[in-house]
Amino acid sequence: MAAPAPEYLRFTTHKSLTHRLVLSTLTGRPVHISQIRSSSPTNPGLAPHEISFLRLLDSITNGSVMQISYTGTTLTYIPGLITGSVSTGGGDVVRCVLPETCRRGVSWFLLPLCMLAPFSKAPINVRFEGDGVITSATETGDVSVDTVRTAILPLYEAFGIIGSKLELRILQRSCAGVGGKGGGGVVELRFGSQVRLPKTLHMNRSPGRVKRIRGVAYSTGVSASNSARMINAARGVLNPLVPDIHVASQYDQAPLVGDKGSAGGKKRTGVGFGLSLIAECSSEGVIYSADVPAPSQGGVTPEDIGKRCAYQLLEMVSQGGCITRVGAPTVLTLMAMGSEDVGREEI
Amino acid sequence: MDDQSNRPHRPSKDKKKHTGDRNPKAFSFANPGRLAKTAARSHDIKEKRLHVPQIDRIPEEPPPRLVTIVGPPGVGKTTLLKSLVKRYAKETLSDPQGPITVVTSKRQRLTFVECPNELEAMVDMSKVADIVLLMIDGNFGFEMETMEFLNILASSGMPGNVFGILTHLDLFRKPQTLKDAKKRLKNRFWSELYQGAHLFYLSGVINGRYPDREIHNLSRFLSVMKNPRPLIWRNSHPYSIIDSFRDVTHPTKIEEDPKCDRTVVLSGYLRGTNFAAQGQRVHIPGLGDYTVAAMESLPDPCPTPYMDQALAKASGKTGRRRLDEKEKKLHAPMSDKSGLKIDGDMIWITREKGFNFDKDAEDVERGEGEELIVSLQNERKLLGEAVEGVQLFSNGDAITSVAEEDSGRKQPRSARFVERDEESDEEPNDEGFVSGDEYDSAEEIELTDDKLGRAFRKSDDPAGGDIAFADSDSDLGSISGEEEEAESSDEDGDTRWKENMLKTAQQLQGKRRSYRTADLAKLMYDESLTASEVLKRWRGEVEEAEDIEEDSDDEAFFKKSGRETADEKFEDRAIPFLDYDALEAKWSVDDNIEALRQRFATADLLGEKKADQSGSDDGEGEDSDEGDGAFEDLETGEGHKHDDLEAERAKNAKRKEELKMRFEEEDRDGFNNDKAKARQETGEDEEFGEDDWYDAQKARIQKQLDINKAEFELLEDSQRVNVEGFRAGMYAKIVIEGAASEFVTRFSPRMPIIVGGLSATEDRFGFVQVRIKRHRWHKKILKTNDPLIFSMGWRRFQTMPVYSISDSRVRNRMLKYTPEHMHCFGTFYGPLIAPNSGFSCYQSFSSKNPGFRIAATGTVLNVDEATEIVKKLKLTGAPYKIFKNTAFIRDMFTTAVEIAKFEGASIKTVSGVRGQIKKALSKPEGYFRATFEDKILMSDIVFLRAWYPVKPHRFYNPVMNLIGWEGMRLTGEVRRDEGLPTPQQKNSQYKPVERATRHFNPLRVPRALAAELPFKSQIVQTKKQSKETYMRKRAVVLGGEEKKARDLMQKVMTLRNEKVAKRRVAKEEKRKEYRKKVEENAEKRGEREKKEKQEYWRKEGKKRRAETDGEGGGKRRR
Repeated sequence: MAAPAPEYLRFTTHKSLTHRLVLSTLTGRPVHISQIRSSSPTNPGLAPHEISFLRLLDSITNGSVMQISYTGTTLTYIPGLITGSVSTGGGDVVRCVLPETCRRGVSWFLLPLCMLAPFSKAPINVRFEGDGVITSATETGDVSVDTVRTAILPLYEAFGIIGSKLELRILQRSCAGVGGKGGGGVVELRFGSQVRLPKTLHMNRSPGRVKRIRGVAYSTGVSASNSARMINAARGVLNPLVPDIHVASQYDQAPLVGDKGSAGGKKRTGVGFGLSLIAECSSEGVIYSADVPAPSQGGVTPEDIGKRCAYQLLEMVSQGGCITRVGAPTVLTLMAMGSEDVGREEI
Repeated sequence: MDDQSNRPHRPSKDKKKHTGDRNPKAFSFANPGRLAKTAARSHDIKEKRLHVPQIDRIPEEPPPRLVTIVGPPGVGKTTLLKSLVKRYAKETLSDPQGPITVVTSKRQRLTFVECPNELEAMVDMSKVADIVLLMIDGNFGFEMETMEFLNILASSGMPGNVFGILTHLDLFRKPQTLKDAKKRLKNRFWSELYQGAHLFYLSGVINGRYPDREIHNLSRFLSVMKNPRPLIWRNSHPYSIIDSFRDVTHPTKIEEDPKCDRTVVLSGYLRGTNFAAQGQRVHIPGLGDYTVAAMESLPDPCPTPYMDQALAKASGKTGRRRLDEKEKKLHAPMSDKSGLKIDGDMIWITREKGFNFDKDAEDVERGEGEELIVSLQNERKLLGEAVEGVQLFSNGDAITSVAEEDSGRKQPRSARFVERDEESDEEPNDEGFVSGDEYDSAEEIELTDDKLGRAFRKSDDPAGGDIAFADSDSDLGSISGEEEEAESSDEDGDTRWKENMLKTAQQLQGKRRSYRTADLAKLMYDESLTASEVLKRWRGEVEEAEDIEEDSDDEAFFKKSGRETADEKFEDRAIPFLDYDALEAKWSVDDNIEALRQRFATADLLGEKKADQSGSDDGEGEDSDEGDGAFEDLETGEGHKHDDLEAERAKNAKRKEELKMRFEEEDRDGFNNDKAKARQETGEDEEFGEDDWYDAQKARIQKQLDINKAEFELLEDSQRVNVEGFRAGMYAKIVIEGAASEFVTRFSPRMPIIVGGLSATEDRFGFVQVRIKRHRWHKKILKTNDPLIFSMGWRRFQTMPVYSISDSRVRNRMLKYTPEHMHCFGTFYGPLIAPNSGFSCYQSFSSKNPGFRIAATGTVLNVDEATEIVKKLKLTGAPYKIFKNTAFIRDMFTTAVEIAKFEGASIKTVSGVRGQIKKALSKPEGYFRATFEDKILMSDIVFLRAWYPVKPHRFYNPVMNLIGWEGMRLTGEVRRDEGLPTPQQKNSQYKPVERATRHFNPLRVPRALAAELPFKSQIVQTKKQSKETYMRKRAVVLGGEEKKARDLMQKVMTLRNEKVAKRRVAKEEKRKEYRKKVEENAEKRGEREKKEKQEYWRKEGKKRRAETDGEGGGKRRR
């Protein structure tokens, strides 16, 4: 006598696919998602980054079953247990190789992974590598890893997760490659703190006043002066409002991708620059973030990027609330996964 | 005599006065050693008190405590139950069955359950009982059931309160034996539980009950008991003990197929945590897993006086004291109570004096059942219908005739919401969630307040309820935005609000924003609306005012086909699309920047304050100048530079004020600090030092609980249920669909029925790794893959565990049997459960096996979807050709492929020579070359040690004893039942091992060969001795005197031996006689013992029979 037949939750389209899969894994409910880009004449079915995410889920869980239809437009997922990165051979790090056709930034993988990680049995250490890791913000709307590190990971501390055990190592930066596809970055997430029941939080008071602004200006494979220009432009906008602005400038070489054996040999990709800003408030745990990358086809000056980022930040601040659009899924998921205590949060 | 002079006493020494200003001895310790000891002890006691702080989720109106009466048959359980019911409810139950709830004090109730003498019931009761009354026959001593129950209790989480009750103490004739027996039993009981466990003594039975005084003492203990530390399992799961049961399957369905699946309604008090409002998964031990089809809270059938009062207050109906208030204190639907007994779907009404169903008869004492029948004769009246008509609102007109009733039922009446359906006849808008009309929220509140039926509400009075509503309104409004001021004026008082309700309603009809979360929920879950539409409605925007800007924005961005844009929209963006040009335009305007500045630390606090003040009160703004003026008058003496100085001072004062405000905002206890305000509001103003960690934790937990309470009290009842579920303490009915028909047909009210809620993980299946130990009182060790019944969580199921042990922490090696006295690991397939939960195991629940039935106990270590258990596998082979260190081995493998897999594997001979597999030979398939550290012998056996993974069988068989169940049998049992012989393999039979001793021939070298050997290899042989050796020279020969002496000694000894032999024979003769006598004695004693034993078992048999008669005990007479 085996387990009873599972009842599927049925969804359509690939809208918030990662979040659906994460919640399915956390609650143990099997899901059935159909009509994934079924009407698209050119590329129906699951996109490469979505396949990579499923692979990642498979490698950190045990006993999960995924079935993808022949066309890729239907996905069935029966979640397993989140084991973390223990059972895999070759050290304690799970490697997640993203293909070079990946258009989404690595934060698209990181955010849902971080939501799963607190409920894992063992620490989750995942290294993203391959020809598709874009560490910068992307035009597809993903934030940069700097924002994840400085604006998202600190949110976990309020839930009883030890901040010093969370680490996001950026081993190699990369912006989006030609046509917004691929990169060559290497990012390692070490999530060493696990909880059974996360605490809840009460952030229903005023978000307080913005007291300082921090940020990272990154330029990969382009002149480091771009960073300075972005910072300058952003400061020009923000300085009248808050004097305490500190934006780090980060220059890296563009990563090498491709085989030696292939026709072109190894080549550099992921050239670009961008700016990530966060605004910290006087009440604890309230962080606004803004992220603007240079488009992969170029044609935008660093000054524009800097200004846009600053304006985006101002817009976020003016929208108010204690969590932003970027952090809301994380915070709400963790609140929902807690005990039956009431948590309060102002969005 | 007078002049006798004694020596005077020695004068005492003068004590030296201390020199300082005060006595130093007065400020030191008299006994430093003792002081240290007492201090250490008091600290020990203080530390012992501390436990990890645990959240106590017992609600304000807790469910009745569950008291279970456990004991072997014939010990007096039913008698005790009757006595207790008589004590509390002043009522005599002839045949108490099922849970019986009584009110014991102003705020406390108890539910009594008699646990039948079946192991399944004992296992179930151990999981839910708050208080255990463990009955022991004092005259007989402890019986196996008592010991079993104590051990079950220990493995499923010992409740704090286990009381022993010794009965049948009147059967002792001598006071001394009684005293001794009491002492002996007390010591045994204490060693089973803890030193000082409570033990009560009940003597004889008077009028079928125990003496009132003794019962009174016991009840005093029951009622003064404090809440024990909550058990983790019960504090994290909802559960309920079912006290009434009804089959609501459609009768025609049953008629068509008597075996059809049934829909049953189970009702009982909810306990533990909250039942989810929808889709709660539950396990009913003995029946299986179900999803709750519907759930509804019912009015409390047995409210405490406190709740009654509160209810009367809330409903406005004061003190309608009923004549039969006495009866209300007892709730026992399964028992025969005052002539009414609910048995399944039937109600039995019994009356001794004959029935009188005349409803007009006055002054007739009727039982509850008769009341029921009589009340059926009443003509049916609609709810709230009085003589003058239906009054919908308290201030509204009474409706005498209904113009047109078109809200008739559209569906056949379903079983679940009988009461609600009836109500919805008159109140079509009452459904709360379903009817999506948002304008009548005000009326809805009125109705719910009046109705108040469902659950016990704790609002003080209707006015209080309304005020709470108003509070919530403004709270919620402040979240959504700033426009709510416009309407807040008409929320000030409930009376005024009610008076001009019509007007307000008309106002609201036009354009009204709803601020209640209830409405938001309605909108959110209305599937006909899209998210954006919902947002619009929530914001109060009308349909026509489309958000044109946004749309045009999107179109500007996407220049692809409509399909593509839709697809793109589905992509989740963390960064929204923003029109940066518009943003730039917006943020280059100074006013906007200044407006935003208040969100930054550089904000002009003074300006803000002024703006605030002028906003609230216009006259206030100017007053602040006056202060400046006065200040100036006092301080300024000089005329020149007056303006300059004044300006400077004004600037300074302003700066000072701003600094002060900044301080107030940033300081920890500042007036403007949000956090400080929050702290003050929640009362968390105490500071906790380093040593007060424990108190700080407790305060934090309490604070959270207060927040929960405050938040949930803002919600109305139906919504509260939707959010937090059905909370513990409610009396609710649970509808289960698809229960097997045997559940109804075999239903026995004696068996307790438990509905235990399952969490999401417990609904999944996988491999569970446990640490398990055979119980030391269980006779046999357990075998791997033998079916075993686990009682874990709510469930009881049969599964096939594989036992293993950690082999030097490298691997889990399978064990064929559990160790005798040691823990080992067990892995089995079953429902997942949180690690660290305890469990107990049984080979069978049947009472046929006489021994101790708990086979093993343990805790869960880990749950997983895979297992890593291995067993040892030895492959043997034999060399057929040996070189120096190389040998060719055969008979280990059959194909070269197998060998390829094991290339490089280490092998070994029996004598311990180690080696390695090198390569398969091409010619004879399955032969290979191996190398060894030394030359091996042809007679050596070569073996390869390998590990073979073992998987437990995916076998899970829940014990469904309520619908008739037979577990999987052992192979041996099946063979025995079927009469099949055990197949025996010839090769598996044991034969005497015949090992020929190896015989090594001596080395013989032919003489011719020896002669030719080189000198170095010459065989060295010693020559024969030619001279006499030293020893031979000294050989002794007897002679003369000594020879004679020896001869004599021989003769003497012979004579003596003869004598001894004769004496022995004589003694043997005597011993035979004695032995015969002893034998006779033993025979006599045996006979007597047999007789005694028969006598004893005759008595014992009577006692057991009493239980099987189904009449309970109490009929025993000795």
